[in-house]
Amino acid sequence: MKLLNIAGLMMLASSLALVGCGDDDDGGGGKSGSGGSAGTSSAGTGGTGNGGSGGTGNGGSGGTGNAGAGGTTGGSGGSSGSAGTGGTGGTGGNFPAAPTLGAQIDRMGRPAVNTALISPLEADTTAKGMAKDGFNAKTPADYNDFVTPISQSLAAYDGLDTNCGNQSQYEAAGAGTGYAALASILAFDVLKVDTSAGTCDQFLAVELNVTGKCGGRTLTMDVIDSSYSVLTGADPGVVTDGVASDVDGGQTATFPFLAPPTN
Amino acid sequence: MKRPLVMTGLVAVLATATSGAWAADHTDAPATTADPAADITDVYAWMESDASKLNLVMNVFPAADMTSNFSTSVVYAFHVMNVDANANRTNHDVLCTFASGTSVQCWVTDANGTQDYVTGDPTATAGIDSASGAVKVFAGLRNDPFFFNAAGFGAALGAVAGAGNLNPNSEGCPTVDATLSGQLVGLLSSTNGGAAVDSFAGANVLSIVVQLDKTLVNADGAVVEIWGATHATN
Repeated sequence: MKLLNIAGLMMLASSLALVGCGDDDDGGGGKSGSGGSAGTSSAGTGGTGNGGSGGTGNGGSGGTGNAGAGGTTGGSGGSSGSAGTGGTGGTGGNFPAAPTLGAQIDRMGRPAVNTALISPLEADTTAKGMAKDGFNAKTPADYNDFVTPISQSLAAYDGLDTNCGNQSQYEAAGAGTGYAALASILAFDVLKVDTSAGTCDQFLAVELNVTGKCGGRTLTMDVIDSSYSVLTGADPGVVTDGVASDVDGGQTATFPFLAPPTN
Repeated sequence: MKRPLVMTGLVAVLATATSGAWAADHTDAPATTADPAADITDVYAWMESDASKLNLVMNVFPAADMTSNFSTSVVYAFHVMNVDANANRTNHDVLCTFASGTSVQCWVTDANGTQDYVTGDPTATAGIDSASGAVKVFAGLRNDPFFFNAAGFGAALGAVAGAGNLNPNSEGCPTVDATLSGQLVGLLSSTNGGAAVDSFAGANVLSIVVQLDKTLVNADGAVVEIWGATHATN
């Protein structure tokens, strides 16, 4: 947002109309407040406020039809917006309207959550397919729907190193809670990234409260081995798939990071 | 009743991951299998080494080839939740749509509307940049960076299936003795009795790569939570 102020200001000079309008209905008091005052002042000076950021964001949609919404929430900003319609859209902020989202088809955060942990006990392939489609249609906020089935799957993996109850986070939520703690983490299916850290060499670093690492997932992280370790409770490296890197792909240092296609 | 069911469960867990096209999320459900251009195989997210930019990758279309295309009726979305000190979350989205393989539009949005936007032909490796320079996008056919010895997993499955009743405890954790455990660990880390082989060597995917100035998404705190999704267009 802050970075966009300059572009926003450029746009303001020619299209104050867009500053206070659009869906500038955020709760970020500073932004919406200044957007409003920008609207009530005249085109030239009004534009110098933080309205620039609002203008950048809302220019396109405001211009195409969200002015009404802006008018209600943006208050004075909205009304002054219509007053300033003489200014045609500046180049910087005249974005086309963003698409609205239809039905969700697939989703993914961490590797292998749906594949390995959703309804593996289900023998009926139709029911299993429905369960997997059902997971894909939900969002991380629905994670509680999947804690119980994922717990059952986690138990099945836990004994592979001969020890039951040594899986990561076992009983972490209290005695008798079994696999629920890890199941809750995995059911909230996202990649967690610490944007303050530039060292990204450990999968699940944020979940495991490792400081100074960004977590997330790079192309080269051996997520299968990490998953084997977490799921079985074995020490890292004890249970491995024997493939530590992608011999024909990998990750380049520079954008776009993925290797060219094979064949 | 419970024991055999759960023991079967262990086998099933292993079996789930051994079908030919298995990957981190490759072809995991009927609806996505029927629509490969909307089938997410993997999502990646990490910071540039100077921690200034967030890199996002979404791969779709398992086993893609030169004839594979992004769908023109799908919105490809990176949902980025910014977590504040009180664990409240604000939503930011990176949304991309394709008019063709050489024409993409991507928006960076939040509750205030569109914060940045880029459009153009995304197939050059230099990517296309938004006017502000805060967003760079590439999209096209790339090598599938996922790697996994699926054959070893399949062999371990066979060993588990042949091991008989593993007497799982009340929570469903099976009893695996040291002999079987050692056997399974050995099978997992080898391919057909030899060195482990990456089952995804030579595979390609359609990839969307987005690089963002992190300030677009982290105004409320350092931690962001990312999930990729495909949505039908409206």
